[in-house]
Amino acid sequence: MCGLLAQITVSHYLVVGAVLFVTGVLCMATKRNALGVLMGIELLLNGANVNFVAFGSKLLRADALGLDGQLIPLFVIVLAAAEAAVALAIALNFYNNHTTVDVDKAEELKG
Amino acid sequence: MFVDLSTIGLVWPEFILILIAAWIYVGGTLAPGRTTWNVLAWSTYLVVFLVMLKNERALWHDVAAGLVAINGPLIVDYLGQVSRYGCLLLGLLITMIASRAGAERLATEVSGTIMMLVAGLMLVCRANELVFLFVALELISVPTYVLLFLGRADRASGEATVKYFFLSLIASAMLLYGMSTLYGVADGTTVISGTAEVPGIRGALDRLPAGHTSLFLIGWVMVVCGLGFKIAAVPFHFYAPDVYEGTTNINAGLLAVAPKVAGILALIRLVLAVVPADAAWGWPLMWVLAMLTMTWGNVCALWQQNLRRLMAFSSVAHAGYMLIGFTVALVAPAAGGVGATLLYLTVYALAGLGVFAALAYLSDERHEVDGVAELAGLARSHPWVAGALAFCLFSLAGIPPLAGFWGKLALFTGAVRVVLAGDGGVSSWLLVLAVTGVLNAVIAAAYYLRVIGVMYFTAPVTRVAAPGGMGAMLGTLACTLLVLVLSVWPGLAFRMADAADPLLRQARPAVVAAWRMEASAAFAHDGDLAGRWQKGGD
Amino acid sequence: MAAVLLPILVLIVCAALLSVGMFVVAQLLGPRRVTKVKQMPYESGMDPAHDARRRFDFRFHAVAVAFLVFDVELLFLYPWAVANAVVNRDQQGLARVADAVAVPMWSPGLVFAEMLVFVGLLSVGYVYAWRRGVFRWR
Repeated sequence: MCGLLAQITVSHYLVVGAVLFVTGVLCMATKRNALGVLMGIELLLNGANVNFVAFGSKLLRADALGLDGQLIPLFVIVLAAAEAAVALAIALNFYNNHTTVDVDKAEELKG
Repeated sequence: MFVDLSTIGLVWPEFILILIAAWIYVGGTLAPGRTTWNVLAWSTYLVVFLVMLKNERALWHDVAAGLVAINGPLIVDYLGQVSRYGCLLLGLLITMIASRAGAERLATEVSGTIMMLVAGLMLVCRANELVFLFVALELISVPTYVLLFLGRADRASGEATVKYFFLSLIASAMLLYGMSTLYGVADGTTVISGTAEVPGIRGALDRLPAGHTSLFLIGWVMVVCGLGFKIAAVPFHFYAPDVYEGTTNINAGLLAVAPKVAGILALIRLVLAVVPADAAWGWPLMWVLAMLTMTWGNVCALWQQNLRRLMAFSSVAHAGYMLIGFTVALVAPAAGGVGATLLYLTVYALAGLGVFAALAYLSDERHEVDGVAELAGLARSHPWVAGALAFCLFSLAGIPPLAGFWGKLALFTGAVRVVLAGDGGVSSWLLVLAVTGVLNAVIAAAYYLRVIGVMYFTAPVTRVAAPGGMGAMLGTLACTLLVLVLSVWPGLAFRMADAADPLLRQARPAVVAAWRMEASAAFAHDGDLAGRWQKGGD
Repeated sequence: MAAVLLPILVLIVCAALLSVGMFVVAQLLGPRRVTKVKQMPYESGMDPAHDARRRFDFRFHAVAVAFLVFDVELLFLYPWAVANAVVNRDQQGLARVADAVAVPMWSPGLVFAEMLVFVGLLSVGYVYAWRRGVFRWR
């Protein structure tokens, strides 16, 4: 197991980040529920967060601290929470007008 | 990146704006009432504007001489200085126009949220760091969601809010993902254009081994996509017509201006700044985006009957014109493409806001002016509003002596200048772009003139009331007046836009060797700022 | 490429085996004794009053939003607290680092003031939520 772990590089983390990002996109594309779409957004942002931490990690650099790579996700997490708060309010408003949170029912405005 | 008191001394206006905005939120719950808090908001913008003007005189002298200071996450240069004042002005205008927006009980939320948004815009103007830029952009996005939410409570408005919210979040996530890739490629530093010790992404890219550019390219393209959403460039524009149609005229005006200003500034600060000077891959993407955006926007606008849909497609088309400037800048940094874009952005923002202000003046929450046909006979019932509206529309169309024409002229001459300089394949591509731009301007004139024709040459169907109030009227007049000033004296605007072009500044040799330290002397301690001044030439 | 992906494959297989295995082992070995107390939704809590799928009052959502924001905002205090501990423990070391990267050393007072401003802005948010009646129950 130790030999296997020694081979873990930044690329592996990048793959995880990319998978999270793609999963988030798929989730946003397929979910009908407004809150489900919001979960997809969290996946997108966290995919980017994994990237930041991976690039800032000791795997990539020997000398520098790479602390900014870990601090950026903190900002993103807080932003995501603020957006979730706004999203809850918007979803409630949507529910009051449409009596559903199914975003496919939004068809007043044809693009 | 290190922050100390001098950094805080440089961002005090944004700080004050956020504090006052918080005070407006809380104060609105303690003492409800629209007028008092609106007056507080207006006077805040004015006072901050004037105090900034007084305090930053030394700073102005330095940046006008082409000096650039890097301080923590900030870059202090002419572009940053000029655009911050522009943002304050924008905030004042939007608050005026929105002085009757929203429900009476939530009136303070509107002005407070606009103030937060303006603070975000001002931070974007000087952002020189990835996470700072991202947070500043979100400080614009989140208030925009809230304002869309406050706009009106019906089905269409709710739908527009949900659509804008989710699509804007995808764009932000793409931007963030691209930024994470840039951060990784640039080897840890998050400074976009840094000093000798801290090279920044641009400097790191120059030292990059050949095999690593693909990762950088992915990040760069994703950043362009994320910011393309903000300026509504074509593959990412599809939200615009729906959202504009669903929301109020005031919010549509805000959406047409604020994200576009932020997106263009971020494109200059991030996307242009990180491209190496000899890169051949940057301009084709911008070229395609510019062609698609202006043509698609203009063609779709031709048969729109809803005013806000029409203006949405027109705003898409204007983003396309601005991308011409970016294409030119990527082909030839010294051709002044960015300066032309900045001039165009100023003119577009004022004229576009003027149009929406006039529409807001004709509407209230009971009835929004929607269809082009509703404007019939406006010239007789409200000659002043019709005149202002027509003036702004003429300017957007680029009819010769007006400001919009000067903006288009600057963009097209930039492209033609590169063509004349002659560079084989590239120059013929740019010639195609310039010709398409001119043809587009002709198409655009058709739909703007249709609206003007309806106002002036059609008998009124229903009587248009004008319940929008004093604020919207003042806003309309101010926008029109500013467009008029830019039309009559375009020279000053040309010179300022050229001076603000960061690429032009890099192409120019350093002008001043000795610099002074009084900049924001009230806060800067023991010459920290002084140590960070660097010459504009390197 | 195969050599690079092998660890991930092994990790996935391990994770799958572990999760499925635990489930299977629990099914095989765990005794199942259904009693009335165990069937209650909250084994050690109060008896629920009604079905979970009925409408909730809007005020629950408002409180949830307020909690969400304040809870996560405290995240910003965390790096500050960690950095503050380092500052107090190793003043000389910090000065050496500041010297090495040629920047002026930041003052703990400034950082503390920044945090005060941050907490102050948060409490403004609290006052706002309070005045808007988020916590008013009747």
